[in-house]
Amino acid sequence: MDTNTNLPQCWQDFNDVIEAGIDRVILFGPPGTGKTFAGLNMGNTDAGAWRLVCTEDMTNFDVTGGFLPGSEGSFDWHDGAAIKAWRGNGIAGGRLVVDEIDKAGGDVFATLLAMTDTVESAKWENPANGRIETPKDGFSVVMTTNIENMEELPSALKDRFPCAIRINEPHPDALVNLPENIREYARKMADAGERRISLRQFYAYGQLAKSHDKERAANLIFGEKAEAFLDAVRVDTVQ
Amino acid sequence: MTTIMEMKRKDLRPMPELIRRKDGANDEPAEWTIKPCAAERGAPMTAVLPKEMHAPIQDFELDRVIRAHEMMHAKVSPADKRTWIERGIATERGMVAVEEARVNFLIAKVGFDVSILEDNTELVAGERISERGDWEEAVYFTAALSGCGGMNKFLVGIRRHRPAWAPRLRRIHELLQKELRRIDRAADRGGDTPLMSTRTNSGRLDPSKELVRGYFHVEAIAEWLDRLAEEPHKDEEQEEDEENQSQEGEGEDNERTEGNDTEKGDPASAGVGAKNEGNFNPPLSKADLEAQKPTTNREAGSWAQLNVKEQNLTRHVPGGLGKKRIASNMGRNPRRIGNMLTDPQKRIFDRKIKGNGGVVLIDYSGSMALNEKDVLQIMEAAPGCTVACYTTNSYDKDGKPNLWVLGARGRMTTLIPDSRGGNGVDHPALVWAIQQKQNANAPVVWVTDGGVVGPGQGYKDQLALQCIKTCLKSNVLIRDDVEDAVELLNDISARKPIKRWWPLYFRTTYKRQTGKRLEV
Repeated sequence: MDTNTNLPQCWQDFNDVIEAGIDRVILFGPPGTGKTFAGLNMGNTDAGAWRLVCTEDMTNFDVTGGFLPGSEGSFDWHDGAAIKAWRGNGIAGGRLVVDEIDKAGGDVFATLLAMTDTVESAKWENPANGRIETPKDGFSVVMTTNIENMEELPSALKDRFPCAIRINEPHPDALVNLPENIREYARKMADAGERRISLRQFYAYGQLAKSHDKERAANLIFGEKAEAFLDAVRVDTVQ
Repeated sequence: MTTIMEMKRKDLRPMPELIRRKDGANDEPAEWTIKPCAAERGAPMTAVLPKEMHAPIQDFELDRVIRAHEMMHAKVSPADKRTWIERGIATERGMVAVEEARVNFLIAKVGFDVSILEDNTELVAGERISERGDWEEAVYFTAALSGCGGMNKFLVGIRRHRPAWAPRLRRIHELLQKELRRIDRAADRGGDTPLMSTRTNSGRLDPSKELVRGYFHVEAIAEWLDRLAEEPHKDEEQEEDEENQSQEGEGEDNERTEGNDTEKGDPASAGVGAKNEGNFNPPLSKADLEAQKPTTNREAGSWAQLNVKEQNLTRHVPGGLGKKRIASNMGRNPRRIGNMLTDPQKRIFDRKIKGNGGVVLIDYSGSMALNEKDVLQIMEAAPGCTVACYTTNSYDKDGKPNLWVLGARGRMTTLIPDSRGGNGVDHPALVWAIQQKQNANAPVVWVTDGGVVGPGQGYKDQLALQCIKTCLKSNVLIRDDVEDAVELLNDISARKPIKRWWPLYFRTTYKRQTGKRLEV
């Protein structure tokens, strides 16, 4: 990611926190603003970054790993995302990005709490070889969620993540690929609640508007919101 | 084809989140609260800072234009009107009405059909207003409807009870639209601030405190509208009567050249709220309407903040606001028995009277002069009065005093401050002086040459007009120098008839903006 000197406040906050060495951060806010992308790319991710998308049906296989049938009738161990991030590149720990941790089931949630604990407390025994694994120095966790009220998060989780930043607009670098005339709209509509228009919709609209008139492009992409969008643009561009 | 029921069911909430402004309001992405409301006058509203909009959300063309209207408010209207109201150049009612006209003008400019903006209450409103004879409300309502489809119905309603008002109100609508078009054309040529500009005057991004440039147009037009809406002053009425008489002598009457809008009755007696069924003439003559001109955006100025300091009032001045004994020919204790022989009216008793006090405000800019003797003379001429002077420089942002109280409560200072060169706070100082009146009858005398200017600004008609209006409203007497002010105070004390005087600056401004003369 480019380093932008005029970053929006939320991104500047995240930048400052990561630069200061805070290694447990929650990014929350409306979807489609690039929270996961930032977690995977911003700050020092030289040792690698691994993503974990939590769902109710997921198992610890995704987190710590598990056995899978091998080619010779045996079972081979496969590391999960958290263990990979613990190890990083073998010299320094990597980054674990956990999406929607609040959606994880009880068993997985408990494991994640253990995996995201402080470096001094975190330990895990590998069932394949009995070795005790610990996170390498430099291991960091960025958690993302769409919930707005941090009070809804379990206290054990909040305790592990002392810093929570609300991301209310897309990162400027994510807007660069949009046509210039809709960049600002994409930025402002990212946090418009029920009337939110996602960055992906703006990408599609910008693409379609190149070959079709704006009204048709808006109708196809924004549906019922098309008229409101076009009227707002008309009013906004009064000269 | 979309049926009526389908149109009703639709939920087409506007997207004010998308609006960009230059004053910092609506800059941060955040959700607005949109509350559905009826498509009726008075129901839709927009509040920029709290991010709240009430708008009809159904799929009718009228609803859509109303949504566009509210969206334009979100685009161009000041985030906080209090700053504008506090400036005191125009009334809040006037600014609200003109803002409606500006917003309608702008949505028409981007292609919305404002001719459908009506809710069928205009006719009734016109009838109600004309029946009450409420000229002020008629003028403001006309401005608010200007450019909308409801204008004709409103004027039909007006004609039901005051047929002569209709052409005058229609002309106000035409002049308002003409002014908006003029500003728009000038802005297109780069000669004026665009109507829709939300750049702040200071360049700072603070929507709750800073003034947005486009609204200066609204303020200027609203000030003009206030002049049209207000009841003529007595002086002006007399002057008009004189002019009318002289015109009658010449056999020419402008009023009767307005086609079928025959006007009856005495124009002077058909004031605001006039209930007399016989008086149908508008309080504003055609000639007066044409003579009144809105100030231009370039004429917009502002005053510095008033910082008051009371000097050390160390010197006692004889006399005071308190009670004073004077001779009387009735009473209980004959304290002045000697008067029995010497006074033809035999005023042997005492009677207590109170000093009238008063306030003398002195323009202490570079063009004026002041010394301790002047203050003493004033305080001797009006015992118990408050004397203050004001002056500031072009860069008055340091919070230093710019108005000094030189005398009050029978004491005065011996230390006259140095002049800071400029005026800067003429109107705030004037308002302060009026607030200092010891009683309702206490005179306020303003010593000034009329060269009123904001800090670092040239002479502006808008600011001068604000001072003139305040003087007229609060009966402030102006004199050119301290000597004349002392003479005036002596005349007031002796209950001699007082004549008003206006500086040349004010007379010129008033004539230029209103087409009328300030009585000298």
